[in-house]
Amino acid sequence: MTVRNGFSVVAPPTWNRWLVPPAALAIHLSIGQAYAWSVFKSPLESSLNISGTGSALPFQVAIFCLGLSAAFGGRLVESRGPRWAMLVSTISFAAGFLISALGMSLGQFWLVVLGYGVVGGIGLGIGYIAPVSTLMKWFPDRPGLATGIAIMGFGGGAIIASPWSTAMLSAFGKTTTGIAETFLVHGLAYGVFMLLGVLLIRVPAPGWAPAGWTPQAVAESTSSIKVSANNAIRTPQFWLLWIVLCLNVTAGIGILEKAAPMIQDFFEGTSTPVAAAAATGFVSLLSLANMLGRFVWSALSDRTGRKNIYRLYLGAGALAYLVLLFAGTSSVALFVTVAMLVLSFYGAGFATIPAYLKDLFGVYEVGAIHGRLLTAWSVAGVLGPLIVDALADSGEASGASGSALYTTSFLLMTGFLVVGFVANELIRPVAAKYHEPGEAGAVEAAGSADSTADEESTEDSGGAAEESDEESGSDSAEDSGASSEDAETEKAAVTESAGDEPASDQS
Amino acid sequence: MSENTSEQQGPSPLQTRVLLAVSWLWVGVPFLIGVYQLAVKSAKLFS
Repeated sequence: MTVRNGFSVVAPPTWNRWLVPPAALAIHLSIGQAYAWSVFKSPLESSLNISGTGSALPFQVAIFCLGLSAAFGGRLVESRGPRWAMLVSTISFAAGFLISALGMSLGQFWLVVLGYGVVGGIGLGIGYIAPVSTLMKWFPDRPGLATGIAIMGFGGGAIIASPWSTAMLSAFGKTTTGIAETFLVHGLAYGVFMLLGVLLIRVPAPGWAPAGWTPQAVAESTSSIKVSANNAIRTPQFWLLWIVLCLNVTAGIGILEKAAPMIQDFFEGTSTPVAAAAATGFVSLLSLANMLGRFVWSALSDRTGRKNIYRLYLGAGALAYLVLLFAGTSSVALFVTVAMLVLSFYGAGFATIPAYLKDLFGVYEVGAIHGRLLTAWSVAGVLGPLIVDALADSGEASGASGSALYTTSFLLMTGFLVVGFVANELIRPVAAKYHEPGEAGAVEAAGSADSTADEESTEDSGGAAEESDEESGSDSAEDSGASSEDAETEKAAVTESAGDEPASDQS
Repeated sequence: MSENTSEQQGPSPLQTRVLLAVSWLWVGVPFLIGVYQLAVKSAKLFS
């Protein structure tokens, strides 16, 4: 039966769960436009006579606001539900473009920073966390697949936006008026496009479970683990995961950050030099790999277990860096393929971390826990570019050229991935002393991040039904009916990285 | 509070199929156009 409570809608019995992924994708493919901001940089610089640093400001502010709103807005999203969050995201993101359009038409760049950066950035953060936990509720049998679908959309938004924004700028011109018109069309089009998500999103009814899928006993389920965010940051598991995420992201950014010049440097002086125009194709392929990795590897983690899949990301990633270093110049195809593999692990690291957190800490405050884990990205976002740029600049100053510019940084990235691999190996189930009072002691055993496919199925057995029961007794579960369901649905609000920097912006 | 009867029961199988088709096309078509553009641009890398 369809029940409304404010903006929240509980799905009727015949609601098909495959209607939920397009709802999530409508939001994430839109807000992923942020990855294509670089398309606007040159037109802004020439029309407003501002520097490259200045033209990057709206994007930087947007990513900053994304992180803040994702990390600290989770509580509101929990209480109001996914439909409310998607509506806020739609309004903010579209309004951000409209304010920017006004700013360009008046020649006031600060309005672009305020519009796209602050208002739009809030839309990014709220939109990011809005559908992820809802998807996990609809796919209790495949939580990795569920988060992968949503986070894939965020990674792939630039694939739509980049050619579209370029075409708009060509049609309207790269003057202040042309850019204003482009922003206006973006605001209106994204507003309409994202509305599908607002209208289509539903939360599963209490007790709902996929057909043919039977939840296992509660005592065996990791979903019965309840670790608060405050307790989580006192556990070694949190900080080991922090290291894993930070180093995996650092290694990915090592390539992303200088993708276009890097491939040109590697093949400089060879029989197959790469021109600047072709190098942009490399950047596009990395975006594709970043996006697909979020979906494919994250979905695979449902079968392999989270710890095993991170062994692949970190172990194979380290080997891939060595292949790039020692055989990268032998073939453009080899270089591109291996770099894409590294970037697929980079994206997958973001997509799989919510399910890993769920395995270790339960869904109790996983959104808040993940929000705190975002600091790992912040550090990686500074560390990765800093290392690669500083070492390449230093190499150039000492007369080095070509692939030699990257030897030290690639070795460092390999080392980082090995350290991350070791950190992942050290992750064990969270000790019972960190669990919320009143839990079954048996949950600790089930919290093993070493879960195999069988264990995963046990873990997932918490499902919507069990979590519903669990949450209805928690402090934050509001009243009954829809609001209770929403509170528990959003309890798992999973916030992804505030900014795996777009290849297009970083290169 | 409850909504009208059809909403309480949910969409019929035909309505579900139409909703599925429309919603996946809504997100799929723009994405496939983007992928096509990406393929065209990427082809330069190997030409």
